[in-house]
Amino acid sequence: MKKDNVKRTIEILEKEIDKFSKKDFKVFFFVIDSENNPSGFLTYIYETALTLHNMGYNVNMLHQAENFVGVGEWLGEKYAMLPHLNIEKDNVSISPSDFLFIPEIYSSVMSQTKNLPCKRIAILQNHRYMTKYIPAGTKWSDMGVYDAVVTSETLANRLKVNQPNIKTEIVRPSISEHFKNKKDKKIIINVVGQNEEDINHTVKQFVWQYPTLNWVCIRQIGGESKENFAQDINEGAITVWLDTKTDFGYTPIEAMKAGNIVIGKIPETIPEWLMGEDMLKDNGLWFNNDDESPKLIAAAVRAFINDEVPNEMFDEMEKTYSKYSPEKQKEDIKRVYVDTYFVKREEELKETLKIIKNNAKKSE
Amino acid sequence: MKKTTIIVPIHIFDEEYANMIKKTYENVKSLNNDNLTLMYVGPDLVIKECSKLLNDNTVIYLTNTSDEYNFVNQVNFAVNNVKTEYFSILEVDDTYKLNWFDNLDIYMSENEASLYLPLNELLTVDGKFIGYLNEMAWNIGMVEELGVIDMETLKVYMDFNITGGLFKTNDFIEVGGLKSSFKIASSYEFLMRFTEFGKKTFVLPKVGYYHMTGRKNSNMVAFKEILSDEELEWLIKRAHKEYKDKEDSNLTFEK
Repeated sequence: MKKDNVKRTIEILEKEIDKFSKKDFKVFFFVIDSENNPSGFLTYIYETALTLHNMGYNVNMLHQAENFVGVGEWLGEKYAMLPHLNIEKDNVSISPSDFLFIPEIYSSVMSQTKNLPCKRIAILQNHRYMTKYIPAGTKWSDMGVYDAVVTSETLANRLKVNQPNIKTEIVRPSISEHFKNKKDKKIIINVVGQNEEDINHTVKQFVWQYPTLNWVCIRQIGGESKENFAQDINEGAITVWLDTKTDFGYTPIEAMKAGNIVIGKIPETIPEWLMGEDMLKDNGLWFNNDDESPKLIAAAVRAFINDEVPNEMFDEMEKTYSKYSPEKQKEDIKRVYVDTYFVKREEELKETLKIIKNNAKKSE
Repeated sequence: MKKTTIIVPIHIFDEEYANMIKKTYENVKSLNNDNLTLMYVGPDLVIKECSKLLNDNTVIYLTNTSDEYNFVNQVNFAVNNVKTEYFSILEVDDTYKLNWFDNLDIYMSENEASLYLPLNELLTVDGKFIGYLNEMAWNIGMVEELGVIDMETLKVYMDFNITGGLFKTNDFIEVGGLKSSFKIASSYEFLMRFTEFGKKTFVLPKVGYYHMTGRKNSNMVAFKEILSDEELEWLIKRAHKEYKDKEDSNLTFEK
């Protein structure tokens, strides 16, 4: 009986290992239903998934939603067309050669899937999400997760402080090609922020303090499809960004790529693209104190209408956004997912097979 | 940049004017644009002095033979002698921003219009900044399409300046040019008429012109001294009625 079990285990392992050469193993990404609400968080995951799908891997999006709406409307059909499976309702079979990538916020999913035979890896984009629901004292390693994909070195360092036994790999986000620098820009200020109070405070102070500029069109954008959002950013000249809780912040880099002057409140965690060696980069106009923003907005408006934006700022902007091209992201995805995770997993299974075969031989 | 004639109306020649003429000449030369031709228009003696002063045969010195030397008639006379597809009016005490025509190249390729206006910086005679002109074309509460001056805007707001702008010569002539009987409201009436006859006016979101206000001997100051508030109000009401006619009715104000 025991011999039969060993034989069967060897057969299963050989079959699993064989899947690697044919790209037959499954790559699952756990996601929530965006319900048509755009999300940078989900964009990153779907872009990774689509890239791997286009490389020929068997990618599936896993969810728990009753009536899954998906990302088609705001992100695009090509992402919505990726296979989606309900982890509770659909017949999802998971085997040792498979991978399950779980966003940092879903510690519950990490716990629920603890006994699955596949390789489970966390995706960390925002350190606040990591601590949101996880029970105090519980670590990812307690739930069998020892690896994480992170979006920046800043995040990798933060994770090291909090969960030092998690091994990290960096896959940088990419800025969509929808964002383009239109030459005939309009004098429009696009405001992007999470908090209505911050937005009102910034806009109204500017309008009161600069009556000779109160004709300038100011509009709040966000919550629309990526394409429409990009269109708004592309046609405007200035982007005001008010999101202090983020670890990364897509909007300012998208705006830089679109040739906008970016004015932003410095986030609590300074993103790597904003931090120079020992001071902030000159890729935008940055402030800590809300009272500084009206002056910066006025300066940006005057600089735009008079073509007095320093070339050095445009150079810094280009240096910033060029680090986050789709091509660079694809290189990172190949390096991390294909050449590291997939290769390592295959080696692990081969090593396991080798050990089992040796033990089987010895016992004969 | 399409071939453009820059029209500078002048009506007197004294020391102050000579300095202003030189300044306009230097300003246009510093634009460094081979597609621009400078044209001074005015009475015979004034034009002769201007020609002697500048001594440049690439400049057109046009004698206004109409015997009427107010700003409007000067412009109309000059435009009828323009041979280029576009023209622009440079007032003798104003200046272009150096990159105005470069910006025109960029925006014209993406925005089809018959008249392209710059944002103006409005300055005192001492060069102090007072505010902007034409900026209301970018106020979302004022216009249907950002940057485009439409009839609904013109019915409630009149403070647009057409000097410094780039006109399609044929379109200007087609709608009947400026009407001199409207005096300081002639630009306003013109814009209404221009729009009424389907011509689009696009304001670039770029400062392109520095417009001086309050100069002692300017036409505008002279008009403001003789025009009563009632007459000004009457002119505006006339504009609201007569913009549909290409011909000037030449009505005169009676108290």
